[in-house]
Amino acid sequence: MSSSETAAAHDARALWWAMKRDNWRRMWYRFTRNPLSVVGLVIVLVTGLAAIFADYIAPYPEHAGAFVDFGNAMKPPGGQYLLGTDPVGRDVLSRIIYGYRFSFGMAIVVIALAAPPGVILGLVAGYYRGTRIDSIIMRITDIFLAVPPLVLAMAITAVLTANVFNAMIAVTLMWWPWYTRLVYGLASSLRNEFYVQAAEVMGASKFHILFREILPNCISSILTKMTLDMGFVIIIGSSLSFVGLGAQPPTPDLGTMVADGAKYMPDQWWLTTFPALAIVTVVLGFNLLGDGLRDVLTVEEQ
Amino acid sequence: MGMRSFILQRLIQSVVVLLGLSLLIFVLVRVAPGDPVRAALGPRVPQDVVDRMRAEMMLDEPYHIQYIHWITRTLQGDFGNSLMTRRPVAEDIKQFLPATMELALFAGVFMAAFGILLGAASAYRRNSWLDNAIRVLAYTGVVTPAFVFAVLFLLLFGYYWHVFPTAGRLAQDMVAPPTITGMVTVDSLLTGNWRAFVDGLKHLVLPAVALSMAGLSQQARITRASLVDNLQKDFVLAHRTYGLSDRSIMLKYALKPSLIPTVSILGLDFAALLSNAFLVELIFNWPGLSRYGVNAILQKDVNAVAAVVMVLGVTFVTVNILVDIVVAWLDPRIRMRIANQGG
Repeated sequence: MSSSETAAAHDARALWWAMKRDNWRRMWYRFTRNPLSVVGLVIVLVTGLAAIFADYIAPYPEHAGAFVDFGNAMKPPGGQYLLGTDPVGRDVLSRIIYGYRFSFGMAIVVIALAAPPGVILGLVAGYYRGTRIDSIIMRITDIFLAVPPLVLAMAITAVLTANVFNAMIAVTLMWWPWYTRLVYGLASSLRNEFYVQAAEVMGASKFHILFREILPNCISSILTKMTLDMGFVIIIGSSLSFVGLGAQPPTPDLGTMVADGAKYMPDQWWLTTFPALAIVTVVLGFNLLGDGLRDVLTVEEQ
Repeated sequence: MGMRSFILQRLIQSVVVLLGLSLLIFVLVRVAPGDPVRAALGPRVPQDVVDRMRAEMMLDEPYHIQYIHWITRTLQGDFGNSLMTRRPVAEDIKQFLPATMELALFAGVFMAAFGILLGAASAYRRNSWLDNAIRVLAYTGVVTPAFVFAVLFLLLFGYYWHVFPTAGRLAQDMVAPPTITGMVTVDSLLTGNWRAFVDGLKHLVLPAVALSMAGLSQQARITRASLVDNLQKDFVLAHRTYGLSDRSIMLKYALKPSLIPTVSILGLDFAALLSNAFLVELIFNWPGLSRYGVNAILQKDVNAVAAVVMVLGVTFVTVNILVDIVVAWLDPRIRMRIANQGG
């Protein structure tokens, strides 16, 4: 191997990376042109970091568990307790921050478990569209989609025991079909593209066609959906705990906090209002971020 | 292949889906760990009572026999006895379903009507303050969980602003109309009981609005996006060059094709609505199937859970068939494809 060849290969690789970097910079530039997307990113980063570093950020980390201080119970917002305290004297702000930790954790686990099988099934069904494989996969998907999502999740949680772990299993079980549906639509149109047909003609393996030719072209849609879904899984998770089927006390959870606080309305309004606002804020963040990503990524594809 | 066989094909597909769903539910409630009878009767009931109950429910048979037995009885409308109320589950369903249907129908119509109206207004007055206000409202609706709306309404209307009642279906001093359909508003209209009708309607407002906010916002956003898209198409420009007014272009030509994506996701929005009914009925003390379902779930009443999920599945599948038919009617491309498919 002569030295000029390796130099050329090196140059090509450098060029490729430079182009890649340019792409990223251009996408980032376009992303930052939309102030709403930036707001979404900031909300997600701030709440996410608060969830990760809750132990250092929360004013009263010990209030996250079964802490009792009746002397400071039902304190209105302000002063020592920024968002007030609950009936047993726990700081609402600290509990919201720890609630975020739970919400984020659940959303990440659910999407990490639901997306891969959903995507793979969608790829296979879409590529083999019109065959028996397609109808078997899509009919099974239909079955899971035939029940309102929260209902199935509640039924599953109920049959198992109500706790965080089972709530995650339940939501995962009803979440994967949405990825199958999304990727199915994409894959069944992408398989007619010339580059897929070219790969077929060259005798590429099915694995190569599915994962190296079709999948990369679905990634931007999948990423957008995952971002939006973070918000929606947080809604479902807090809905489950609102009914009492999710996190069990004393684990701090935003849905549980809203449900418990509702008993003390309207006098202790801060017990419901702030956790409810906390949910809305983080879901809004993921929605703005997801919409921003979609705009940037779809323009990039065109 | 004509419209009739298209519908027939959708029906057959739905039956397959519902059979699959029944299998899923069966696995869920029967094969899950733990003894449902023991759980329902509590630890202090003697073992022979539990054994008798198990035999009665055929829980000792192999799973496939249990399933065949269960599905045959379910098809005959017999869901077994509720472990909690000790009444036939079918009776309970008959009692609670109409309230949920009334709420869901009211909320569904409200959702579709206002979602499309707001979306169309938003697109028609694009970039005005009205458009911006509607877009903010729609975004809020999408990111706010139904139970937050419900609690908010409870706070606003329960304590500060007594315009709409926040609990139940009728005022306590109101005599309920005789049960014909089980829906208070319909029954009171049929019997000419005007006061009960108005009162029933007032009780419907808050839960229905809380229930429909998510879907309504989704509908408004999609209608706006698709209408804005269509208003830039050549056929609209062509009509404009003929000198047609903006208004008639909107109403006669642009709106109909723009409704296709809106109606297509109507089925999914209705599913979200039935989901949220579980939270909203609980908060507004609405005596419907969802509240019954939540209690059944919390108390592990397996027969009742299975029946509630099955009934909701049938409802949802039926709505989806209707949606498909409406979409086919709205979209000439789909109608053509159905007509051309042959045999």
